Amino acid sequence: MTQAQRLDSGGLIDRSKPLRFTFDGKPYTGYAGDTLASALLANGVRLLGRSFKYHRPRGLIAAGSEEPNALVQLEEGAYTEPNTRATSVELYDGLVATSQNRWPSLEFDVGAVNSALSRFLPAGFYYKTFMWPASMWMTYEKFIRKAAGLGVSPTEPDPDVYHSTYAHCDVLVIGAGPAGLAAAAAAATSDARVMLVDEQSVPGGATTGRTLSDAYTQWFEQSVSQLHNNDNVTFLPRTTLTGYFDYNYLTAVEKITDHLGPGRGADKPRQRFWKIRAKQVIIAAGSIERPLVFADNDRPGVMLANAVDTYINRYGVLPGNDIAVFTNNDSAYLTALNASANGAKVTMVDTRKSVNAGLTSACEDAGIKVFTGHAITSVQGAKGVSSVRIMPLSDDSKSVAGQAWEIKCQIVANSGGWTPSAHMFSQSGGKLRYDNAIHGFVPDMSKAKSINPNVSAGACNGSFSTAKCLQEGSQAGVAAAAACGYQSTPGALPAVEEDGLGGIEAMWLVPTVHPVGEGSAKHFHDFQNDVTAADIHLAAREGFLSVEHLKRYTTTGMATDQGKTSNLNALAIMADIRGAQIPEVGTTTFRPPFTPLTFGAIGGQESGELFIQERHTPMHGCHVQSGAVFEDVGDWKRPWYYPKAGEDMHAAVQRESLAVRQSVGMLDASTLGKIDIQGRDAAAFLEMIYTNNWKNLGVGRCRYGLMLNEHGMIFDDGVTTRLADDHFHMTTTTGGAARVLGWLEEWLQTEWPEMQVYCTSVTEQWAVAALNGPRARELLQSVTDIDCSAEAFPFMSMREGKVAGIPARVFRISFTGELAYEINVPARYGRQLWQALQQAGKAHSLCLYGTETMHVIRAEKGFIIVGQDTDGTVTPLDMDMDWIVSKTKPDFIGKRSFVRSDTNRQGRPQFVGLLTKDPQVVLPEGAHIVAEVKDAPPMKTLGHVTSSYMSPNAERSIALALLNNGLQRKGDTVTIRLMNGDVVDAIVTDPVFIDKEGVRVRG
Amino acid sequence: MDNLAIETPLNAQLHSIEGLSIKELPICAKVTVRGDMPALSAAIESVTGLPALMEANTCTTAAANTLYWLGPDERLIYSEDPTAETLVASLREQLPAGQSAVVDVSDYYTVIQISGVKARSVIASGTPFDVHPREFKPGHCAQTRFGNASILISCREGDTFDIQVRWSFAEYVWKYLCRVGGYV
Amino acid sequence: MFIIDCPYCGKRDQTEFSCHGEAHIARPTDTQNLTDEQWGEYVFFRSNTKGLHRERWVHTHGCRRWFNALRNTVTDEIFATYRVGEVPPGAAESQP
Ligand SMILES: [Zn+2]
Repeated sequence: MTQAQRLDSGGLIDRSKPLRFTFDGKPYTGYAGDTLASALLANGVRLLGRSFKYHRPRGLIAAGSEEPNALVQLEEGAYTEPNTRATSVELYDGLVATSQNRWPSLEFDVGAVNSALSRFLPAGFYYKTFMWPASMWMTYEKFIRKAAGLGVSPTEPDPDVYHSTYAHCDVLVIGAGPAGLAAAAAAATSDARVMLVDEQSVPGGATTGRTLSDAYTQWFEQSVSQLHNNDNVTFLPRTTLTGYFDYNYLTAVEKITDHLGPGRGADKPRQRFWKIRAKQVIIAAGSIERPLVFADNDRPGVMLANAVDTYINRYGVLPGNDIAVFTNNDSAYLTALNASANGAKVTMVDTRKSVNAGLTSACEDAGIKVFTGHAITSVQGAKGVSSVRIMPLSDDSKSVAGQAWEIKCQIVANSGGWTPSAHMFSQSGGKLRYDNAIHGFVPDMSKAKSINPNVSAGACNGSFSTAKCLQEGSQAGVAAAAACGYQSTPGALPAVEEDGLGGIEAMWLVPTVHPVGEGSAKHFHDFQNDVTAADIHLAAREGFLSVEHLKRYTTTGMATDQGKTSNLNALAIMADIRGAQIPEVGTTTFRPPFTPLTFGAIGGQESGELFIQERHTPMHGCHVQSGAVFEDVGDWKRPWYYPKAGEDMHAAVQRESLAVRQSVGMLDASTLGKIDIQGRDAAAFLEMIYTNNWKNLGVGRCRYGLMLNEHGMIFDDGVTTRLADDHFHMTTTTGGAARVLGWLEEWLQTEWPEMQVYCTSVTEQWAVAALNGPRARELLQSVTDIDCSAEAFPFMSMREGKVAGIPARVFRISFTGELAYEINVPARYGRQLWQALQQAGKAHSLCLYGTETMHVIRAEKGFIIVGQDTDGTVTPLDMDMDWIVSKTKPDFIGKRSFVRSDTNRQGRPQFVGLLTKDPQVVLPEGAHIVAEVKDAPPMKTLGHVTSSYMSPNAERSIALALLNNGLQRKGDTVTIRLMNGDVVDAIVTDPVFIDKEGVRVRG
Repeated sequence: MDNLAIETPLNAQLHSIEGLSIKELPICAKVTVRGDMPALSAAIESVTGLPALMEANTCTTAAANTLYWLGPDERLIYSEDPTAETLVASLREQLPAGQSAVVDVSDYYTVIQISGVKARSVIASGTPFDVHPREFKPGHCAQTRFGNASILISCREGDTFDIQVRWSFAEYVWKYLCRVGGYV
Repeated sequence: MFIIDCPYCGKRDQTEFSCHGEAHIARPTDTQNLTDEQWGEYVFFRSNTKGLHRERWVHTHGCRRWFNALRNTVTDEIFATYRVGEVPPGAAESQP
C-alpha cells in the first residue's frame, strides 16, 4: 500500500524503518516515529470512526491528546484496549486497530439512522424520554448502551504488569516544550531535585519538527542532553500528568512499553504510576487550539490548523492536496504558508475584515488566495470533505449574504484561537480569569491555593510566542529553585523570531444561511459527545443557563476528552445567547484525570497476592500440610476446617465438633489480638475500659471482659490476665486487635495522660495452640512440667513452665465450655509446639479443628462473637450479660449510656436461643423473625438470626438470635420467613444448649 | 531449650538480582521500652551504653546493641543475643517500678535487609517516605508504611537498609520487595 | 493528600495518619449526675465547623502519638499541629 500523502522528506520519522499495521483488517504501512493517526493520514485514510450519538462519519481533528474523534479499539484478546486516541498511539510493527461505534462496518453503519432521526434526539433526550416509568429503565438502558457504546473491554485478565512508585522532588516541571525545558534547564543549574514530565515521546512540545533558528536548535539539543545527564534530574518522556491534588501531590502515568507493542516489553512493567510530592510545581502544559463552530464542521477532513502543521512538520504527512484554511486569528497563516510550501493548493478564509497586510501579501506571494470577511457556510462530502462553500459576513458578522464561492478541498484547517491548558492550575485549586486579549481563560495567580505552590509558564499562561515561553520558563525555574533554597545560574536563551497567536477577533458561532437549529446543517462544538450549538440554544430556552446545568443537560464537556477543544466555545455560545460576558456563564472545573488512564497503572504492583496482605501465623505451614481449607478473618488466613479424604465441609465440621467434646481438639489461636499492659495505674485503667471489676483480680488469674464505647454498645471482648501487680496480658478478638490498641492509646494519651500505663501490641510475639476437650489435661500433662491438676491449675488461671521443652505461658481459659488450655510460646517455636502436640496427641485422639468448628462449639454454649451476634447497637444488658456489668464501680466507659431512654426502653433486641420445630432445619443466618407472615415483603420484623448451625453435640440444629423483648419471650413460638418464601417455626429458648450448669469447663 | 531450632517467618531467605539483594536477618533480641524521660534514657544508657536522649527518627549502634527512637517516650533496643531475657531483666532493674514498660518483642518483628543500587527505588515503590540519599542517611530511621504494612526502616550505610516488619506481614513485604525489584 | 507535620516526627504523608474528629472535647467527670441532654451533647454533638477547626490526629504508621491540628476545613490548609495538653495556637484571641 502506498503512502500517498507522505512527503518525500522532512519530519522526525525514519523512512528506512517501515512498520506494518492494520486498520479494520486492511493492511497499511507507516514509519518508525509515526503515530497511528499520522500513519493513517499518510495512507489517505480520513474516515476513522462514527460519532457517539448520531453515528456521523468522523476523522482526525487534532494531532495530540486533545483528539476527541479518533478513538479506536487497539489490539485484540487480552491486550485489547478501547477508546484509544489514535493521535497518542505510537506506531509499532504489527499494530492492529479497529474502528468503534459502528455496526456492521465503518462504511455502512446501521446506527447512522440516528442521524436521520436527529431531530428526535435533542439534548436532554434521554432524561425526557426514558425516565418514566421507572420500571422500564432497565430495558431502555440495555438498548441505549448497545446503540451508543464506545469500545469493548477485554474479558481476559490483563497479561501486563504495572509498577507504581512514590517520588519526591524540589521542582516538578509539567511539559517539555520551550517553556518547560527552559524551566527545567534553569532549575537544574542549581542543586535542586528536578522532575520533568512530558506526554510525548520526544521533548519540544509545539515546536517539535519545526525549525525556529539555529540558535534555538543548539540550545534545545544542549538543554535536553544536559537534563538527561544530570543526576539530580528525573526526565520522563511518555509521561502524562493525570492529577494535581493538595499539598503538591501529583500523579502521572509513564508509558514504558506501550510503544513496543503488546507482549514485547520482556518482563518490564507496561506502565508506571508516579505519585509525586513536589515542593514547587511549574506548569508548562502549553495550549490547545480550538475549532471554529461552523456548519457541518465534523466532516472527516475538517482539522485544527496546528494539527495540519504537526502532521507536516513532525510526521512528513501532507493531510490533503487541497486545503482550505479557515481562521479568526493570525496563527493559521503559518499553517497556510507551511502547507503551500509543502505542495498543497491552499485557500485562506478569514472571518476578519481587515488582516495584517504582511500576512496577506505573504500569502499572495505564495499563490494563496485570501478571502477576508468570509465564512465557511457549508461543508460537502459525508465521508470526507470534498468542498466548502464560503460567503461574505455581514457587518456585524452575525449573518452571511452575497456572493457564495465553492472551494474544492479535502482538508479544512481551522483555528478559532488558542485555549491555555489551565487544567493543572485548575486542579490545584486555582481560579481562572478571562483574558480579552487572547479570548481565553488564564490562571489567576491572585487566586491560587496557598498549599499548592505553583506557577504557570508559557502558553498555558496565555503567553503564546516561543520567545515569551522561553523567558517565562527560565524565570520560573530560577524562582522555584530559589523557593526551595537553591541558587540557579541559568544560561542565555536563544533568539527566535516572533510567532504565536498574533491578532484575533472573536468568532464563536459561524453563521450560515439558516439560523442555528434550522436546516440540516449541524454546528458541532463537542465532537466526542456529539453536542451542537443548537443543543446549547435548546438548553438556554429550557432554562439551563449556568455552565454546571448546561454541562449536565447537554453533556457538553463530559466525554473522555473533558471538553479540551469544546469548553470555551460552549461557554461563549451560551454567553452570546444570554447577552452576558463569558465569565458570567462560569468556567468549568477541571478534574483528574487529564486523559484516561488504565486501572492497571493505578493499582501498580499491588495486584494479585499483593492486593491485600495475607497474614500468616507461625503454624501456617503445618495447616497447609494437614490439608486445611482456609478462611479469611480480617487479613489473616485461618484454618476453616481440616477435611479428611472424601469429606465435605459439613462432614468435617461435624466430626471436629464431636471430637472436641468427646476427646480433645486443637485450634491455632495465634491470631487473637494480644496487648501487653504495664504501669502502676494499669488496673485502674482496666476498670474504666471494661465493664467489670479488675482491681481485685489476683496475680496469675484471668478474667473475661467486655469493652463498650461511650454509647454503651459492645465493641470488643476477650480474656485479660494479671501477670504482676502492675502488669496485664490482654487478649482481643482477631479482627479487633488494632482497633482496641488504638482505643486504649486514645484514652491514655488524650484523656488520662496522667495515668502511668503503657500498652504494647504483642500479637505476633506469641504463637498460641488451644487444647479443648475432656482429654486436654492428660494430653497437656504428657508434655509439660506444669502441674495440670484441677487443684494446682484451676480454671481462669495462668501458669508458666515448659511445654514440649519450650518456654510457655499456659492459660486455662475456654471458648468452648470444655476443659481447655491456651498454650502461648514465642513465635519462633510455634511450629515446633504444634508438631509436638500433634505427635503427643495421637495417644489422646487429638483432632485438629478450624474456625467453623470453633463457631459451632461456642454457639452450643451461647458464647457470643462480637461482630456476629452483636452489631454495634446492643448493650451487655441486651445480650443478657448484666452479670459482667459492675454495679459498684462509679464509672466506666459507656456506663452513663445505660440510663439513656433508648437503652432503657421496652422492646429492645435481646439475645436468645432458637430451636426450630423441625430439628433438621438449619435457619439461614440473617433470616428475619416476622410479626406476621405475608406473601411478599414488607413484613414487620421482630429480630433476626445471628448464628445458626447443625450441632452434632445437641444432635439437632441450634440458632442464636436478637429478638425484640426476647428475654421475656422464652418458650414462645416465633415465625421466621426465609428469602425463598419458606416459613419456619421456632421456639425461643435460653442460648445455652449444652452443659447448662457449666460442669465440663471446671473439670 | 538449647536444642530447640529457632524459626523465623522467612526462614532466612535470600533474593538476589543485579543491583539488589534482599535477605531476612537472623533473629535477635528486641525490646520495647517506654517511660518518662530522663529516667528512661538513664536506664537504657546504663544497660546498653547507648545515649537514649536522641533525635527523633534516628538510631545508633554500639557493640552488640542498636537503639532506635520510636517516640517521645519510646525506644526499641536490638541486641545480638538470641533471647531478650537478660536485657529485659536488666532494664527492669534500672527503671522506676510502675512507671515504665519493658516488653520483649523479639518474635513480634523480623528484619529484612535490602541493599544494592536499586534498593532506594524498591523502597520508594511502597513507601511515601522520602528515602533520597540527601534526606535519609546512615543513622536515620523512620516508622512509616510500606504497601499496607507498618514498617520501621533504618539506613545502615550507603545503600543498605533494614526493614523491620511484624511477623505476620513478613511474607507480604517480602513478596512486595521481590516483585518490585524486577520493575525498577 | 495532605502533608502533616507530626509534632514528634516532622512532615509526613497523610496516609501515615488517621483523623479522629474534633479536639478539646473533655470527657465529663461526674458522668452519673449528668442529664441526658448533657451526656448527649458530649457523646453525639460536634461543631462541624466551616473554616478553622481543631481536630485530633494520630500518627498511626509512625510514632503512634496523638496530637491536634488546626485546619481550615474549606481550603485544607493546616496552620499548626500541637501536642496534646498544649494550648492551641490563637486560642487566647478566639476565646470570648
Ligand atoms: Zn509521629
